[in-house]
Amino acid sequence: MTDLALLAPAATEPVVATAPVPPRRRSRRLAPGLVLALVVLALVLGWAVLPSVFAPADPTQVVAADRLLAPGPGHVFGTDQLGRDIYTRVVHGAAISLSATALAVLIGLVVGSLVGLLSGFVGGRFDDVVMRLVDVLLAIPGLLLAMAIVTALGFGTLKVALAVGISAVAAFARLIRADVVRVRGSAYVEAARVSGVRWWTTLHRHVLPNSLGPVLVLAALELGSAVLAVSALSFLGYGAPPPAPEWGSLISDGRNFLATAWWLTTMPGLVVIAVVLAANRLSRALDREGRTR
Amino acid sequence: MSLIGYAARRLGLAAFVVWAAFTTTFAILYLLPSDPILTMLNRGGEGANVDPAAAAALRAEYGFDKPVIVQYLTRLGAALRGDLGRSMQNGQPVVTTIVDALPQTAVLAATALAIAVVVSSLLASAAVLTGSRGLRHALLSLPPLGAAIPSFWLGLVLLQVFSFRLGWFPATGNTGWQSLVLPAVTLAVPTAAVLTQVLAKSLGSTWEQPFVETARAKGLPRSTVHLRHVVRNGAIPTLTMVAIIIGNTLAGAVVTETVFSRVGVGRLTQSAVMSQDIPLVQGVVVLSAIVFVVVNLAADLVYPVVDPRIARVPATV
Amino acid sequence: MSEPVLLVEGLHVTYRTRRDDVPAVRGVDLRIDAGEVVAVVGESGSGKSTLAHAVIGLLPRGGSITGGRVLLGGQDVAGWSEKQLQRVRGRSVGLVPQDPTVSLNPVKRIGEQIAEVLRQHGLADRRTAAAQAVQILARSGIPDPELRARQYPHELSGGMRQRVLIGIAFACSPRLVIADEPTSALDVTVQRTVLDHLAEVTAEHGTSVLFITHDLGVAAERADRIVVMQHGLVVEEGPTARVLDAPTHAYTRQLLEAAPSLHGARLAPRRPAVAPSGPAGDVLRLEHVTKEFRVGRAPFRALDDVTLALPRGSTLGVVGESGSGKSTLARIALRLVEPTSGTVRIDGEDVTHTRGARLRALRRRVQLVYQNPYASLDPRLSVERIITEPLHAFGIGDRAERTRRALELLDQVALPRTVADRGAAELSGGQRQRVAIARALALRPELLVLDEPVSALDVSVQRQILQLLVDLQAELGLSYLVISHDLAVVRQISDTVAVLHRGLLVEHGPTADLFDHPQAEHTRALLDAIPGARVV
Repeated sequence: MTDLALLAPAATEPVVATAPVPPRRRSRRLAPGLVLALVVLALVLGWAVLPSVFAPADPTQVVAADRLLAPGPGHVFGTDQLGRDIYTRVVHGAAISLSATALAVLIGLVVGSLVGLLSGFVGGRFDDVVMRLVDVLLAIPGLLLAMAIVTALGFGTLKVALAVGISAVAAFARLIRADVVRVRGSAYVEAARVSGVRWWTTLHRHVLPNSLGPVLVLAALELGSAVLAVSALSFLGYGAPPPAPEWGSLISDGRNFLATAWWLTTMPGLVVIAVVLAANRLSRALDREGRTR
Repeated sequence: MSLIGYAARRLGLAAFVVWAAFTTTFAILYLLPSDPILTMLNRGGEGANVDPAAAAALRAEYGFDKPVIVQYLTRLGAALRGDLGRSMQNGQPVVTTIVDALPQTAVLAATALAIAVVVSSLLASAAVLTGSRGLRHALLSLPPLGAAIPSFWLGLVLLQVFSFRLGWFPATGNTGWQSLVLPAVTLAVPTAAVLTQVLAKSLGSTWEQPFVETARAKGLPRSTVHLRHVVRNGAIPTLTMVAIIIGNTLAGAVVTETVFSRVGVGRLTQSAVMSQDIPLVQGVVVLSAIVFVVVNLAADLVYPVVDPRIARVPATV
Repeated sequence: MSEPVLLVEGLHVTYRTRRDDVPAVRGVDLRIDAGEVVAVVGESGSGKSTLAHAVIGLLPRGGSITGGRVLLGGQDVAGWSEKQLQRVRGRSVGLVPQDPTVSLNPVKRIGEQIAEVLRQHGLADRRTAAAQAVQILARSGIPDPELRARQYPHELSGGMRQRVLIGIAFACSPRLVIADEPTSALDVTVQRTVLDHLAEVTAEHGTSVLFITHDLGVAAERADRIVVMQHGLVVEEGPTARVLDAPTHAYTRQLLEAAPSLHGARLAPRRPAVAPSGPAGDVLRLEHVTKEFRVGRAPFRALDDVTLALPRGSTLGVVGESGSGKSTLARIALRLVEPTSGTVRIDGEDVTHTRGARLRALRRRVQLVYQNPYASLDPRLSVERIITEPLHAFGIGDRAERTRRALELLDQVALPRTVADRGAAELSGGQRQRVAIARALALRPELLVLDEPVSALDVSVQRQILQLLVDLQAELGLSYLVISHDLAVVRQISDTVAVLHRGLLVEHGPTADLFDHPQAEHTRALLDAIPGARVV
């Protein structure tokens, strides 16, 4: 009889009662918001990889007759002062904007994770010194740090991406380190140690897998902020030189026609917002997934 | 530890952060590019015709002909006397250039912060207190949206609607409160987005605390419980973020002031980077570090007032 | 008969979750008359706490009353609005919450928090409320009431804070007080004084009490009537003496049997015993062990010159309240921390400063089972992976052999072999603790250190785990070092018992001697404080 009683569900006092519950199977159905986010991300990824499939026209083609047309059939996002189709320019700009973003996130992720992992796992004096440095970097607002790096490196999409990536290193390092320290101090890691498990086995079997979730969450979140940072820097004029249809400079180009042609700034801006929202939604989904497991 | 010892330690830490920010920017700005003098002469252009004599003269003037460590110590020494060098653009001392522009930015940032605090408190409280699940979801979906909007884009859209179409506010300039409204709103949105998320989360988790049940079991109305018991406890976590939030607001001023063509530190920074005015960029970064440590020191003083569990001086611990 | 203070009829409470509706209380009837103390006893998930919260309309988010009536003084409050309920809460029904350390607002002064309830119900104005709050503190047996009123909760001990909360609950002289596990977060000796205080106040005011507890011992000692709940239903109720002496429901009998505080004897193994493996003598010896921690400048002595021996094949129970140094002792025995001075011997060998490969070899012989089976198992790994991890670590056997060993270990801890592929997160607390025991046994150790092995579990599950440990000891010839705050738990499995108090070993001897003829004053205090000990 005893073991039957044992198989009754776990204790979750204080108040939420758990009468016998059927074995929990998490539903695989995705929330509609998440589906939309994934569609948006897949679409812009498609733009970046195969722009001519989505917009066969030439993004730099000047059609004098079609100057400053409002959005409508033929030109869903309208045209600019030279008669270029804005939708086409946005699609062809995706490759520049997204590769810069991806590079920035990659730099932040790889360098930051390594620093954080090492700092958290080695601990002691080393940890103190590294974390002090990270604190200093965090004391300088990210945008300002990126601007300082751009000043030193010079202008261009690649350099902007580098700058945004480097300025994200500290945040990644801090998060990974906190998580490594949390996992390292957990009872199950100590239990592994008591069982005689070597430290590097503990690292790759317990610490890494359990710290991976938060890293992915942050990476997705950082994707959104990197899109914003990259486009902000190119809006300020530090990105690719003029004819390139980078998203931030598209918005910047429209400034001179604010009073007459709202679509020049509004349309590319909406695309940026959609991408950031989608990345954040994905981050939230990953976070929830990680916590329910 | 004595009060003096504690204060000395805190001040030492603050000085360390400013020094480290100075050193980091020195490393980035003076060591990273191949030759800062060429960078300065080129001003980011393609220009091939650099006069070797002019370069040498400039090099000597900035001390770039000396070993790096000497350069660093010279600059650090000057910085300690309040001299961060001269701007490349107009030859004025960096410190006076920044100090002249600071009040405009301070007013803008303070207004934006005030708007953000009020809006986020109201939004977060409403989201936590409402009994309707739908309303809560709607309110809580606002901050992620606010955080996703590029602030330069938001500024342009506000200009379009409120300046050009409706004509309520001037599009540019620094005169009168009317010119402050649109930039402050633009700058407040990302800050409010972050604050609302943090506040809603911490107010929500405070509502789950057992002491809230004690308060409700006394027969207090929910609104009283919220104001008297929850808000103060829930605000404590935001205090740790205040320095970062203020720093980001200042950085946001770069974009906002550029969009609205306002005079201020932000616009100054934008043009400094544009013309690769290295001393001025370094000055702005050091300023941001100073703001950070000052705000943190202020927060340290406020902490024990808000949370009695934190003794003003950690007794023997 | 006069009108009951509380009458609950056919109460249903349901929690609405994202997936479905979970019934927590499924048709409960309850009656409490004036001046009566009624204990509702049950394990986690029984719905006892939900019942208590439903009475004052303080169900957590998602919970709602879906049927039945709750009559307070004749009025049905089940459908009342928040505004109506606010007039009842604190005025005619008081609440003594579960954990005093988190149930007072940390940023408000004690006096204000007491005064608040008086002012809310118009029993005092701004000026008189402060004075009354001090009087309430004084009546609660708290010294220096004026000073305490100006202090913040963290400046008071747990026991004092619970007195403050009792003061708040009784401040408006309510007819009914709900006490929700009021002392389960406190040390036993403190628990005792707080319960005595609660009984005094109740008698003084003639208040009725709805007493929620998981501990049949506490209920037996403090209640006029006992109501036993299981899975949201009342399975038995009656006068305390009748329920204890002649329980009618099988579940009540099971609870009575499992209640550690009501049991004296050491559990007998259900399997034939084998001779302990290895040489006779003491498997573990601690000699003059002292451990100091530095807290700021002042060193804090967690253990002070403690000498203990554990003969092979037997069980040594180490008992103490929080801060007694018992956990430090376990960690020293496991060589997770080094003592400041003194010697640790395993089988006579000095291992105090052993490091590296020799320490790893030692780990094979001494294993640990943690207090909290929710935290000590990596949530990402399968049960088989968890159990065989020590085998991997020492490179023992190939894949097939390790799987075979895992299944064998599952048999030994009486878990079905089918759980091998499941994740640890899918198991109940008791099952997880069995997995933790299986992992500890994987390397065929000689000594198991059990750190509060059952304190996170329900009593009936506790009993099963303790029986399993006793059986395994006989079957495998193991030696146990058991750390616990619970004398009753230690009594059921120990051969010798050591009592720690503030780092000092105050008493040490065979279990029966120590329980029947305690020498040290602290041991007597601990024994006295066991709830229910005086009843049975």
